[in-house]
Amino acid sequence: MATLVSILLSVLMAAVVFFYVIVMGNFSGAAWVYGLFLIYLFARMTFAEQHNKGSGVKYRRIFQIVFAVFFCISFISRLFAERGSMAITSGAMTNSEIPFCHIAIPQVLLPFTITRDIIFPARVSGHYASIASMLCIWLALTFTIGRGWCSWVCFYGGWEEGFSHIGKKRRLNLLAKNKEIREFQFGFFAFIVLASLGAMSAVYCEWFCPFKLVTEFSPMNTIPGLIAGVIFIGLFLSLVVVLPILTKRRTQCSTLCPFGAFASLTDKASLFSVTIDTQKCKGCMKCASACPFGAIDTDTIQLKKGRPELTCAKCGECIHVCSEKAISYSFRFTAHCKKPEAKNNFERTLQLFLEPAQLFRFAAFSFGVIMSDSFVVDSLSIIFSQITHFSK
Amino acid sequence: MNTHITLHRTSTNKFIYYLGATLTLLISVFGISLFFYSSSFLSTLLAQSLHLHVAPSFIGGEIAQDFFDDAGDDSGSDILVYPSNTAFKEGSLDLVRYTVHKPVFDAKWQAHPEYWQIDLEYKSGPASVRTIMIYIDADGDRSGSTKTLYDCSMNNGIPGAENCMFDSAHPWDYAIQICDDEGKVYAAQKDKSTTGTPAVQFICNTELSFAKNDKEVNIRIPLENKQLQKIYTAKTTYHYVLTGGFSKWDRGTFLPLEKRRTLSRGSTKQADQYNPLIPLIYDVLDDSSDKRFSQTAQLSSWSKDDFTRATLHPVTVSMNEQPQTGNTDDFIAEVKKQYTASQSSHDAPDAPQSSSSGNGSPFQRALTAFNNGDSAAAEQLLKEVIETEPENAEALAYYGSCIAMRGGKSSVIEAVKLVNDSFVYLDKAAALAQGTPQELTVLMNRASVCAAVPDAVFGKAAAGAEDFLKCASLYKTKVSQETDTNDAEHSYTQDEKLFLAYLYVSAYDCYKTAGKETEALLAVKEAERIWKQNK
Amino acid sequence: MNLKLLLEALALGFSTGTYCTMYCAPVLIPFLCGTEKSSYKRNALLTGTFLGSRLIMYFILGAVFSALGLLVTEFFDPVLARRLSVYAYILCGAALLLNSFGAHSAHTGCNCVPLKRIGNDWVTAALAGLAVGLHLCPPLWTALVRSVFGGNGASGFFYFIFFYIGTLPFFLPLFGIPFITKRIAVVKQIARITQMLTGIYFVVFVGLIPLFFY
Repeated sequence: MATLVSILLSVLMAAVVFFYVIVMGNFSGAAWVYGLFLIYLFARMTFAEQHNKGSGVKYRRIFQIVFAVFFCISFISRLFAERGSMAITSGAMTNSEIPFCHIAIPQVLLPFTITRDIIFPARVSGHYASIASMLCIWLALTFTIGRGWCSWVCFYGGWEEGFSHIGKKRRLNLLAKNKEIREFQFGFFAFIVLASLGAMSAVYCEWFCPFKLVTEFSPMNTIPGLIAGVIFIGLFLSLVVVLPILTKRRTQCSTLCPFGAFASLTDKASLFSVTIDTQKCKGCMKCASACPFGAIDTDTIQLKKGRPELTCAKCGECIHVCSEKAISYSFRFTAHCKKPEAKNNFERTLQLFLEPAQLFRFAAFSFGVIMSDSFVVDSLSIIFSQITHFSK
Repeated sequence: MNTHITLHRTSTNKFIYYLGATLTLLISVFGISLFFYSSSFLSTLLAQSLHLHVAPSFIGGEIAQDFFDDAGDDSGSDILVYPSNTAFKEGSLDLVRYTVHKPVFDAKWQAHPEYWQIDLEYKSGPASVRTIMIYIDADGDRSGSTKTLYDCSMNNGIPGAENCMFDSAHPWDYAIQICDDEGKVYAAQKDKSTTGTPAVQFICNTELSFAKNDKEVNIRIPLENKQLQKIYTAKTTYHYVLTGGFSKWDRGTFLPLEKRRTLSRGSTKQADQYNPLIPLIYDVLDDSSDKRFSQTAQLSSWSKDDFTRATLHPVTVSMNEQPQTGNTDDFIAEVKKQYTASQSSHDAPDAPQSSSSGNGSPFQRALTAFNNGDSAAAEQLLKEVIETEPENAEALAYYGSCIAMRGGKSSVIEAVKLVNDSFVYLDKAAALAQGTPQELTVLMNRASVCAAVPDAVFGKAAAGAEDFLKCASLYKTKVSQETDTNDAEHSYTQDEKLFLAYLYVSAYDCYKTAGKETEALLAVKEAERIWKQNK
Repeated sequence: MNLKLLLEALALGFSTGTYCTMYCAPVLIPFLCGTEKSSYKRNALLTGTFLGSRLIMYFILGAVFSALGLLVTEFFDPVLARRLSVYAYILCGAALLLNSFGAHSAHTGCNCVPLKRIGNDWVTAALAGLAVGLHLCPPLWTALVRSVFGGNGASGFFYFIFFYIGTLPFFLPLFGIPFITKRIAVVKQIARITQMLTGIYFVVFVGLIPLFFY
């Protein structure tokens, strides 16, 4: 019966992939390649999870890394096609054509509430990176996967996902500093929100976003522009490349990203959460070591809190390493309404279909598929055309 | 009793759990996909309901006033022609829109935190062939100059450059010169010479950006200089906006005219019209409500008898005006309502009819079925027609429309394929019909399909708008030929006006969908102009 | 005193709401949330100190402009306002950083006694209030002009006082901060981090960089 459920979910995902990737990609070769890759990935993940809970996590990593790299290729080539450079031109600024990403959302909400103006020069609607479309996506993810966005969809997080799995051995252990790191992340988030209100501009985007290196940035033809460049390049190298390699953690996501902090606060509205069965937990702390977001401390286990801390991004790494299978995905509402005991075959079958882990993976993967389709297909088309060109 | 309560709680708990889990299943499996499928609609809805807009200081500041200049009036006082050089594309000197923003202070992410933005939009590019002069009376008083920038800066008494004067009631305080990818701001100043000729002082360079293939020019004037800061408190300013050809080595960079048109010189439409006093200005922003100050009147106000140059009059810009909304929406709704009513009462003689003859022929029967809404029968009949007449443009066009209609009733995946197929027929029909009497009917079909299909999927809205505008142009030509008049002379009947207005309004809808605001507004302005004709 | 003029002054003060929030919220919220002893009385007194210093700075500005005669018309000089803001940010940022390293020295490990004195909460509130008063928004400029040049001394004075009273409602929510800090202990720690980052941001990014390079 579990196999039947896995097959059914794989078929449903194949339908989603077929429509959004292959049909929307006009049945091109690149669309077929990416579509088949996604179907394979999801099927492997589903069947792996069926046999060994948590083992599907590597397929999540693969997807996120692929998305990050191909997003970068596609985004930069679109910028060159539109403007001829990665640098933000005065024309793009004047015509408010700067792509609006999800990290800008917490910075613009408070000023919008007070002044009714969006403090970011982006298109309002009618474009994939418009303000309205990103706000819609944010609302959808808040009520479904919550901070699962960071570990399953975010096209920036894939860089750290990749770098944090390069080294085999952890060289720097941050486990003892988890609490301070979380406090710093929320402190930085509060600073960004208040500073953006004070300056009436998106302060993080202006000065602190390391991902400008793989997307776009203000031209460095003035001293302040150069200072901003040094900062974002330094932050990218340190927080996105070096520290993830040393600590095997997603350091930018867990210390600096204001959207991550914001999504942690709004995660309470999402459908899914992660729970720790304190009866089964033996306190080995493997989960705490494995958590890339520092969401499990010594206190979390010793005080038997029954769930990771606020910054949990539902990546599933802790589920993968837990030898007692004490950690699992659950529905948010079961905090108030426990999962009933299955008393007959019908209930057992029903519960198999309604398994939170499966539904969460389906939801998160769907998000990832649909967000990534045009970028990855675009990038593959560029790569294929270059290969064809050179082979001639 | 306690057992009963416990059992009741347990069953309630079970019910809530399974209900919640089922809802979660539906959202996870179907909800997310459906959300993304309708995301463009949802995002438009969100943008409208929250009234989302970017902080004005990023995008030039709030709009003080927006002017539309007639398209096709880039011939001075209706006597000038462009040089024959192909760089001077049709409409490259034709100003269609002039937007004045309110001055901004403390802007973020901008090169200049204090600036004043003015936008100009032309019918076409390139920008390299233009010299734009904007003269501004910022205070409404008599200080300033009534001579052109060139005349002020040269004391040799030889007139040149634009070859015009300005209204003595509104002498200019600032002059903005845009040419050769540069913008400069000058201020008129009284010098200490005995001649009293105002000198000019260079103030600063402007920021310039171009958009829409050089059709749009955005000028940002930095307001760091104290002389310019009176703009902040100005309630009304007066603007002279002149466009001429660019010539790097000629006076004031204005392209001179000659008796004969050459590659590098413009001239008059007829040789005997030429006179050295003619202003070298192809387009002037004029106040369309006052015929005394129309472009033609202004640019022909020179006199060879007393050797006076043309005197120009400014447009009045209220710096505190709020943009008007609402009137356009009412007009559009009215046009659509009247057109729909006229279609349903079948008394619209102007709706495109097939030029093929022969009652009872398969094509005629297909057309009847199509007009009666039976697209399935029409499609079948048209298929037969195409098999025997594969080059029948009208049949191909209607066939394409039928396939698109079938797509509208199909599943999503099939719809995408059907619509793509329909455009194969429609595009072939348009190619075959070009220059023939069937072109209007064929383009109407294609435009209607472009307007009906989702732009987010097919990206056809802008093409649909262009087809509607082409239809309008073809219809005007057809009507003019039938009555042996031209557009300016022809007085349209009510039905003709309705059809033309409908075409322009449809173009407006398509341009709005495609995000082309200016083109949309120009289309609706033309619709209003035709609608109000003879009223 | 003309009632209509007073109501106008109140309305003008009320219209500064956006600017008040913009300039004061990044300073006051982390500062009040991060104070050592969290009580309603202390919170109210600190807020009052801040507001009092802000008023003193407005009087100083009025006196300086009146003496220099810079404002002969209602002509808002944005360049001057922006330059004053740069100094305001540097002063405010420095005050916040001194407070972070001084008053909270038990946390940061700094044992410098003079720093503890300068970084005292009361001194910080006063300095920050003076600094924030240097931010000149257009409604404040209008109020200064009308009160200094608009009539005889007393009516101008009262005009300005009522303008200032009109700005005060936006500060009322701050009096409820101890309600949060008493219940959620981690807010204090997060607020201190926010305050330090805000101080650095004010001094470097909106202070020194614009001072030298814009």
